[in-house]
Amino acid sequence: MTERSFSFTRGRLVAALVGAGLLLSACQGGTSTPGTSPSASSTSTSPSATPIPTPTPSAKYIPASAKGKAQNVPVPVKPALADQNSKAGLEAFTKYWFALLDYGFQTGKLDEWSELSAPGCVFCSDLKTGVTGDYKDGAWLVGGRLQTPHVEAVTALSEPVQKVTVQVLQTAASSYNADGSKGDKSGTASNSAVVVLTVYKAGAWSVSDMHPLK
Amino acid sequence: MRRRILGSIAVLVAFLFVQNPAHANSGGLDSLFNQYGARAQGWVKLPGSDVPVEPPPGYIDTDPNQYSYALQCQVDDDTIDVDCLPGQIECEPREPGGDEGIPIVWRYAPKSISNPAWSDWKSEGGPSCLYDPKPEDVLGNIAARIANDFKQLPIQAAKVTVQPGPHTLKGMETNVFAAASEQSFDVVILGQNVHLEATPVEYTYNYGDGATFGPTMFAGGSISEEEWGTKTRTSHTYKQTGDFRLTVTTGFRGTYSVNGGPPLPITGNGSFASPAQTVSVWRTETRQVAENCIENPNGWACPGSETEAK
Repeated sequence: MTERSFSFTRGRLVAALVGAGLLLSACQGGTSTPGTSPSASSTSTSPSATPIPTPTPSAKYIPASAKGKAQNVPVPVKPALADQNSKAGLEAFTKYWFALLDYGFQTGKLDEWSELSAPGCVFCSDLKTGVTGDYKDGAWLVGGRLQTPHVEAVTALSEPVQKVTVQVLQTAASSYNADGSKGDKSGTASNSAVVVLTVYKAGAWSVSDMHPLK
Repeated sequence: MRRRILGSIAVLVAFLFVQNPAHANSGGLDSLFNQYGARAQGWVKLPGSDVPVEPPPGYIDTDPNQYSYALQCQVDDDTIDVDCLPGQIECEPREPGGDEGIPIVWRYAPKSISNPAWSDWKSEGGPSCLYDPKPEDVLGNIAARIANDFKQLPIQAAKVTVQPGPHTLKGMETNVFAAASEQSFDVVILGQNVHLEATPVEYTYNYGDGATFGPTMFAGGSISEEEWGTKTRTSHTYKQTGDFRLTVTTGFRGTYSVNGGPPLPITGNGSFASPAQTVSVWRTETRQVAENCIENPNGWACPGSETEAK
């Protein structure tokens, strides 16, 4: 059996996600090995009895560095739970939304992320303007990785708008210009909190606003 | 280091509520995420509620972080990395025969996360030493008493000068200015070394006749004798004669740090009651006199006469 490994945005082990049946959709993320078909059943490393070397995916994820922007960044996958109108569903959706934002910081691509938020969200539009600006004209960012260790929905589902408290960790970031020279933009590491306002409509969550928490 | 001021014209000192300075999340630089969020309105968690809301009018900004510490080699709530132990910093006993200190790292997390889990904290700076038989109580206990302990310190009062003074005239612009300086103290509270810093940031002038000015950032300044009587930012005209008790309240921005940990704000008021300065306000009275005092020693306002100026 062919054993493949996929890495998601925060390098979580594949095993848990494969078990949840996400392998098929993850194949769209950019790794492709011609001639092998996706399998939903491999869950762990097993020694192969044949002497033929296991083909490795040709498009390996490479984090950004002074030499160039991040390569083959896997696109985060929306878990099914994230569409559920429940506390757990809302929290899964929020974590997914931040995973898309982390993807955006690594690639400059925030279209999918901003589709999930309303135009009135100032924080969201400023993030989009800022990050896409950081990737303009061949420039890129190094670092600035996001993690959300603590995500908690704090309002009753009967409310029209839900509020989610999110702890956001970001690593230090620096920018580089297309010619490889260091850019002006930089950020320090941070550990801060935001509140995300969301609404559930037509079977899905979306973000109506986001504010820093003082 | 302490400095005592001579000739103390003492002033009332109060402590201001202050934003946490010199921290990873404040000052000039922040993470990109927070930089891009600078324009968005900040929301708050009011006491007693877990639900963030828009800040009510008049809400005062506080430090968005909470602080704690972990053992230097701790890697989880109840796990120590044994390989790390030989490389810990040394915490020598502070007195001969005393206890060794405990190597720790300071950490911080957003205040809006209640009961942060291990991974919610972030380390602040390198390892330092904590001395206490019950380390888990120390930070909270120091924070609770810091304002009181501060009041016991010999805070250097701002020197206040009155021009002209101590005697001035009704209707004349009387210049008042304050000279206060940054101060730092090293004290031991609950067995820990606490470093305190206070920076004067604003002044409130109470001229003693019901008039006040401030709080203002202006400390005022000295003017030459030729300029006495001219209006300055901090001058005042007394409309009555008499003795008035003048005070200047200096607002300090204060921080404290425990055993070299992060500077934490000192909040609330720490006021120091102190004697005020007396300003005597006189009126001028002039009369035409025909004789000088040699010709008529009992003339108006001559020395020894009843009308001599006192």
